[in-house]
Amino acid sequence: MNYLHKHNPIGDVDMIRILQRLDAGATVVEILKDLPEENREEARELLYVIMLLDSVREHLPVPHEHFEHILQRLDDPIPGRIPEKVTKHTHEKKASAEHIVSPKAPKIFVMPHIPTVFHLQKYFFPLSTAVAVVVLLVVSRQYVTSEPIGTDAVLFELSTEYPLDTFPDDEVIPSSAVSAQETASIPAETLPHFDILTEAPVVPTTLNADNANADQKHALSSRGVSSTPQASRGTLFDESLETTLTPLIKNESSDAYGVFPEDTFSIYLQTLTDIPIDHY
Amino acid sequence: MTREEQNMVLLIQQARGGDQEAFGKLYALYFTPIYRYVYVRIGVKHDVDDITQTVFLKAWQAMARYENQGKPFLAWLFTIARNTVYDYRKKKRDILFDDTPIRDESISLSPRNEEKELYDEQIILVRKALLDLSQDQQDVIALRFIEGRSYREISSLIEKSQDAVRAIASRGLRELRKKIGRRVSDEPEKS
Repeated sequence: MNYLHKHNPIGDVDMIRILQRLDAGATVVEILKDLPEENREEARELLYVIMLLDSVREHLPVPHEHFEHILQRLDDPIPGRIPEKVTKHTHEKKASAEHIVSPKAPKIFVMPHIPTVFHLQKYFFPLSTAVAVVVLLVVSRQYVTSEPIGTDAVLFELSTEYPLDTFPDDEVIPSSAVSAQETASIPAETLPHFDILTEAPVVPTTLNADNANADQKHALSSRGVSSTPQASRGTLFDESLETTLTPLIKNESSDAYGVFPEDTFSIYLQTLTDIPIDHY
Repeated sequence: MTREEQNMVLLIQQARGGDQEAFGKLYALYFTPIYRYVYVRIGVKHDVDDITQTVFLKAWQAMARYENQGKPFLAWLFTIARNTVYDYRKKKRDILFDDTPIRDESISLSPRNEEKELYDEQIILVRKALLDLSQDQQDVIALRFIEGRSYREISSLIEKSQDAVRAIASRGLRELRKKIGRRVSDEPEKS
């Protein structure tokens, strides 16, 4: 169907006239014939929608319910009054259900589809940017991988906007604190990125200490990335930190839309705050 | 008053007095339209059964308070159904649409059947698109084009003027056309 036809679309008045004619028994051909040429295609599509709606009736399942089923739900044959027995029974049932199920359902945070450090800081509380970065790394990998977002892209954005050495102290630094000039000076291909499957930061093989220019060497060393991938691994994700995080990373309690259970987050945050800032 | 109308008044009076058999007859008369209305508005068969039952249960429990104000009995039932559906949708925002085609799977797909399958898919698209319309638009479109009720009847059922009902239908149809067009173009091309 072609819906690109935008010239003088059919308005309410025209549409009501079409419906009246249809009710009066006019055929589709007759209706279309009386319309201006430019409106015929749209009218034809509207009439097709009506035809589909008419066919929906045939697709409706045949109901099998009987009045006896309704009566089974009643204890009192007198209408207009809900019997006490039913009410009491309902309350008992509700109370017992509440007893079995946890009395307080866990709260759920709905994360944005593409989480950023600002989102984390906004949704939770003033969070150290360094902590937020690590949280985001895990959240990105754990909760966003099934979305076509591109974790590498998120990490690249982070590594350019939030270089780790710009916030050595445990304080919140707005993104504006990192100048555009500084980020622009770092060639994208020199930045490390994380392989989602191996967790290991991968430094492009085309770049090493031998062939890097002075700026690139500075950019690499400022991020704790030496000319070998092995050395870079220990900088951002220290072994002990990784060991601590692994159980949390493997916690499968989310879906592709980034639902993040509060309890998991609390434990996670606690773990992070227990780790000395030097680890970042 | 016609004989049919007289019978109806009598049935309602008996049901108001707690006559289960009389209410059973009213149920038999109105179950299908209410069921269809709920089905179009909900789209999940299991829940439709439950909601339709609830509508009649509520009606039975409130029968003593029913007053004939010159409107059809169905209008009263319909109001209960609308409110019940509204409550359901408020509680359950993410409705899992039941798009199982009603088709005999044993039939092999000949070119003619393939056309039928395509047509069935378009009907499912329409049903899905219906759920995105406003409450009023869903009501009017379902009652007019699926239930086949006249504008006069719908006007009485949803307590709006006939002109208003026509305008709602017109906007709803144009909205549907847009939505279906968009969804069809979003569908990946079949090889």
